[in-house]
Amino acid sequence: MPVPDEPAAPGEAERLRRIEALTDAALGEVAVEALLTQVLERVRELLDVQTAVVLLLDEGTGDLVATAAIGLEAEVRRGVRVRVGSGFAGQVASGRRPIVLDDIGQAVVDSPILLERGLRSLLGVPLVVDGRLVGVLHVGSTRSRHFEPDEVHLLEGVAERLAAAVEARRSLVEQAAASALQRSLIPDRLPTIPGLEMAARYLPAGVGGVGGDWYDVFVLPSGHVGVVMGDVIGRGLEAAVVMGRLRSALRSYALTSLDPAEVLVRLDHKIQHFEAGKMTTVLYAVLDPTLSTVEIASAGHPLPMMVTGDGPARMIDATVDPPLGVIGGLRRRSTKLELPAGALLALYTDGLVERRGESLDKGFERLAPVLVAASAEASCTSAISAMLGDEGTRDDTALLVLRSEDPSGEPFRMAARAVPPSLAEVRAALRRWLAPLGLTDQSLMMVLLAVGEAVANAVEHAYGPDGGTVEVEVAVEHDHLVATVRDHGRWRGSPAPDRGRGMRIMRACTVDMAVDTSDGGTEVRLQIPTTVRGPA
Amino acid sequence: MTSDQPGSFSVDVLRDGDRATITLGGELDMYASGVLNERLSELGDVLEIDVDAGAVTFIDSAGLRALLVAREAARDRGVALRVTSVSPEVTWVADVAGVTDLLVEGPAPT
Repeated sequence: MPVPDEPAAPGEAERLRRIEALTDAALGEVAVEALLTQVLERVRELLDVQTAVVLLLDEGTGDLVATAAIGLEAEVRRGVRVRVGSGFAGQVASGRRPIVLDDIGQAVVDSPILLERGLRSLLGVPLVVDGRLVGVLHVGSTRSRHFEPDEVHLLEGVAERLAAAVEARRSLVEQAAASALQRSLIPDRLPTIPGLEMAARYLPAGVGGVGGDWYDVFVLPSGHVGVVMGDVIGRGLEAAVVMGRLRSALRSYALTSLDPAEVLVRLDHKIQHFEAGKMTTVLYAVLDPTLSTVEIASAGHPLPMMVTGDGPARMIDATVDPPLGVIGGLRRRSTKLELPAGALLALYTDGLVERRGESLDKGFERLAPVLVAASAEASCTSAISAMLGDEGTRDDTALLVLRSEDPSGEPFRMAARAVPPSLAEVRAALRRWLAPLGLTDQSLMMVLLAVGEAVANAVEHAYGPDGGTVEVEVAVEHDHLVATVRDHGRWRGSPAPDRGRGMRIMRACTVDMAVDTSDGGTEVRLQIPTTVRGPA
Repeated sequence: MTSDQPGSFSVDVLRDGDRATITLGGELDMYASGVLNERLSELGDVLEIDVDAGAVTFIDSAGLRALLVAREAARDRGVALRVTSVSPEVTWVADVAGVTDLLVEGPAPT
């Protein structure tokens, strides 16, 4: 029975209409701050209050951060942070229910800004999405007043819609950031490594945002080639950020040891200490500079498939140790395998082979026949279409296929940046190409020296600070090699007597040498004998 | 200090009073020369420097230049710098480059 003197509480339909009027126009705003400010402006008019503030939960620190305010802009400007549980907003957050203060007592409000502003009455409601606290909305009046239950109810309705809108924008922004990060960390172009054909695919999951899959290929200073396939458990921005850190940590450890198990032990140590709880599976493989062996360590990661000759693809036989970030101080093991010329190696994440309602073995059975030794690119394409079909993927999927090329008969071709570290890369690649020729050590050294001096010339003299490239070609002709080293810079002469020594070395290593300089660059042609015995 | 970097070049410096022994390993090319020069410049005051090149597997004109520059810089400061334990391959390169006198073959005189 309503009491005649009390004003009738507005019906539910009327309440909804008012909330919608308050929020709908503003929900079109893309930026969270603009959206909040618009809604707060309307709340202030409707409830006849002087201040309205939204604080959002910073999940990193667990604090509430003033994000938008009307009448209390200083809170935002000063970046006010409130611990959940302390102060007015903090208590609204920890209690997860509205708090009405008809007359402020100093015991509850410890924000100097609220007190300075001369607020007398406060009403605060939590912002909650799916039972999760995302922030607090509060309004304040400079004159003492009582907030009626329907006003509390109205503000709760606004808070509900605001919370959903803020959360949706956050997750959009997070997803965009995560995919941008992922794209920047996964190489869109693999390095060019003479003697190695490579192809790769990365397919982010259709729903739920990107995950922490990554792959990486790099040449080490010794000429060894590092190959990584990894999967950080979890998804979204956080997984992508952790993946980025692990990728760069692994690269650093790769510079300190050529033993893949040792590199994974160090990475595990790093995760245990700095990324606690981030379980990760990684496969790390190191190919020797001649690309004839591969040493592999797996931390809980599926083992690669290998195809040699005409045989069917089979999973390699190697030790799989536990994932990283699970048990500290583990000993890990590497397995060394022959990599015959023409062999193909496929590394992948579980998204490629795992299907709902299908055993893993079934997945491998489908993968094996589509991998063919003839081509890395073709194997990659057919593996993706055979394994994922048109339906896309529920989990992230990464696939990296390597094929050691059979170098016999093909000339050596390499383009390198004209910088000093390229010298070692050119020598390592040349060694790989020369290996099947069976040169004596002295002949091998003469080839590396003659070509190396020509490349060093280009590095030192062809280009200014902007740099450029130097191209090397070597082919077998009868009983000698013909090497061409080409740059596209403007040869700036050679300062005596240093380059004189380089020239003398080149002459001693060759039977014929021609230097052709034009406006378009310099080409050095060297004829190097291949039948020289060792030093006397 | 030992560098366990698997890169193609390593420099280990051992100081014993006024004497420093620098052990080189791997491939001494233009890039490695920069590393070597840097390490030599950190050496401070010594009277004698022995550069043990026994583990150098490759040297080019830039590597020879780095050793020559180091020896000249040492000479200017009145410091004796010897390059010792040179392999036949390295000696061959120094010979054809015309800087045979840079190197002392065989192990360091004691």
